[in-house]
Amino acid sequence: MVKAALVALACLIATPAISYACLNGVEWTVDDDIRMVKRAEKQFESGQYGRALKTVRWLRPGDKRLRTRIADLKAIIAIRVHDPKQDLSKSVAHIEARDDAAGHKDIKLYAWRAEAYVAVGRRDEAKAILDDLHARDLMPDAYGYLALAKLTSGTTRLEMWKACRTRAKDKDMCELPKEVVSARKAPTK
Amino acid sequence: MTFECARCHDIPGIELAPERKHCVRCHQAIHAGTFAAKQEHLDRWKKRITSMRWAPSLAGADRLRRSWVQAFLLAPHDVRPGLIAQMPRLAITPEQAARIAAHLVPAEAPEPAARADGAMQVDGVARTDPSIARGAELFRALACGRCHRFTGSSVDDVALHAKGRTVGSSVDLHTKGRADPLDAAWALAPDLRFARQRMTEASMAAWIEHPRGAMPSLGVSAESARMLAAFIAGAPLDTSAMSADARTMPARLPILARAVTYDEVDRRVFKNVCWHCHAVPDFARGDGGPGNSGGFGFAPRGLDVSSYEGLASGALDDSGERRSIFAKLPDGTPRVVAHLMARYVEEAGGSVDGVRGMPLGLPPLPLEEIQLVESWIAQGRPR
Repeated sequence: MVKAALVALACLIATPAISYACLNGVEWTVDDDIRMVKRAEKQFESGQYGRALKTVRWLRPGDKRLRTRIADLKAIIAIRVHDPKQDLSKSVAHIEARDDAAGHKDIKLYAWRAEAYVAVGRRDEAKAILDDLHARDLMPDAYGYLALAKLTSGTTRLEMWKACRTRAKDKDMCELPKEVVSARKAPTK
Repeated sequence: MTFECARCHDIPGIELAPERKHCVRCHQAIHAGTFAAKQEHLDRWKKRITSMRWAPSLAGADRLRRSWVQAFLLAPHDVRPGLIAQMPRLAITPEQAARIAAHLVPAEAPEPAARADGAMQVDGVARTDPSIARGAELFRALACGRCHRFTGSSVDDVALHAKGRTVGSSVDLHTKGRADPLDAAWALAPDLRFARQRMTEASMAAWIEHPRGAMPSLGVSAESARMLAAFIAGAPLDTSAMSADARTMPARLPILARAVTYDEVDRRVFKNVCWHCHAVPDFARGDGGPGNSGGFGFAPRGLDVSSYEGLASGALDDSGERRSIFAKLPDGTPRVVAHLMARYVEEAGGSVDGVRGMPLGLPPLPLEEIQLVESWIAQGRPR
């Protein structure tokens, strides 16, 4: 415990402060809360969910926007790594409320809503959202394509699986049941 | 106020934007080492900050023709070859442009009567006035070409102009009493081929005799100023260098056969250029830049290019709905590529219907970088 705390402290000291010289061409920001939230989001994007949660575990930013981003992160991680025994209702409700507030204009939240619905078995609602995003070429990341692949079949499923692999940093995250692989190999036989 | 002109310009009767919102003051403070930041950051930024170190003071705009100011606001083009940034093409109506022009040029200078020698102030028309020849001699003797290009004229000297950028202390006339004045004078010096559209000959003479702002006082007599103005207003110009072709879009480079990664296109284009105006509001005290939260008269577009997900999430259209920045326009060009290419047309004073050139007010991206973006899109935008 003490060792872990020392390691964490050393990491904090060793990490240089992030400087945004020009976030709007004019902004200058050195903010440890921002640094940690951004780090957590990077870890989340690369699939390091446990690390992302650890990064924000003790974070209590004064800025409401940062607190909201942390809450979003916790909710979507709970949905992505969910244990069937776990109750996801709070996480799903959080994402729904945030997406409602954004009026579906925050595409990431809108896609997360679909992921949440997939996780709790609301497949038709999930598919409606993902079809909409795909049709408008607004799928924010590979996870959306993975979710859509899971909700479709045949050539569409294969197409979504390919899109997932193209847009995923870690191709293994796009793993699907064997029927997809068979379909992919079919033309070469 | 709508267009936030005071974020770059000093304007009579309008309060300057605070330093943290003022592009030029902030950049100047960084270069002067007076910006509140660690020295290591200042040193790093100084190397990167090349644009928007100066902007013309509009306190001297009353020397201009009001009609030119209005036309320029509607179709800005590159007037000052020493400045990297140029006036951005704003979402401005003719009525708004007229109101701004009237504020900047309260009293329209009367158009001069036809000269006794019948000379005309029109491109390419030879003038017979002997003061023009004398003005040309003065132009050379005073080394005006160190700061000013005069494209199309007999005195335009690219090498001298380039030397003027770096010669520094050898031009004593320009370095007295102000910090870094040569750079400012050089950077802000307009290409004089546009002077005859911008000003009357009388205004030019008055300005040369009693300049304001970055233009140094040359200590010339009223007579010399008149001859210089006659030369600038009446020198024959080779118009072939500024043909209509300058407003046409160059051909795009072919899609690359090699694989293009997101990291590469992000490093060379999105994070290098676009991110400055299309950022994340949550991480910048609520301001994601004019290209996200809105600014300079533009409605919020909600575009965040700081991450793959942000790019893929598109931007808000005029009706407030999200649309893909990668979607193909009717001619098959991805929207983001069309915006990048349109900048070539805008830089020459043209425009493309429905497509604003990007990066706003900055030189177009090299074709190789647009090729990189288009290739990445064509390859399915791999992560």
